[in-house]
Amino acid sequence: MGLFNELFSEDLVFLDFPCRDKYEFFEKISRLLLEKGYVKSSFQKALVEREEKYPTGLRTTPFHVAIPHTDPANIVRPFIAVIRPERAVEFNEMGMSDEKVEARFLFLLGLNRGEGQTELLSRLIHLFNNREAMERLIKENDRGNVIRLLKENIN
Amino acid sequence: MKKIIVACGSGVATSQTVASKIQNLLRERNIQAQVEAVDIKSLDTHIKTSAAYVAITKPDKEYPIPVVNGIAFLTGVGMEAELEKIIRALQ
Repeated sequence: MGLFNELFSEDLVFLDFPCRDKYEFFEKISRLLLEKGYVKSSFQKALVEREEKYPTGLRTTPFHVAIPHTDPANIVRPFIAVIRPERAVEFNEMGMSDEKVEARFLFLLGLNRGEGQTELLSRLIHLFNNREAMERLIKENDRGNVIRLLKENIN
Repeated sequence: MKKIIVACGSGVATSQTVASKIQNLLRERNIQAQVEAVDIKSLDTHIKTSAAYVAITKPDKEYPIPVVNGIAFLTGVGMEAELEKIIRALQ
């Protein structure tokens, strides 16, 4: 319970987030996170570099997601930001393929290897397999409800 | 006990998440194995003593042990098939 509230907050839920592509997304979200004191100024560049090297797009159903993240050295305060972009954002698929995914939800993981974070992340990943919850998530237009939905399923 | 290794790009959590998932799935089937998340940099050392390598990033070379697609354990898509590969490698 404590860790969920520590990492997730309505303040870091963004719906209909405008961005042309993943680079613009990284730029805008990094600026916001820097302003709010969650990350260091090195965060944006680190995010872009890591995404190039080890992409984070996931071919989940009923819609694709991405879980961008980078080295803990760039994190000031751990968080998980939840973003539904205005339009799906193209990400390269994680792992073996050369394919691309159209991510309709982005979970920006500002993790720093703190206690319990792996377990929480496991439960978030598990949520991606829950079709019903995912279908509810994509329809939500209230940030508080998004948090509640996530808490219900992840906590 | 045989060992399965999982490696990802930055070791923040994806490899541990997948390792934990695999461990649980094997336990459900009463299969004993050591499932370890390792740093991709030390991969070559661990390969020597492992039964299979669960990859989350694209392998850049051939390995002498079976390579399993770790993404399947993140998305759930194709997970059973990859789990079967792990189980066969453990036999």
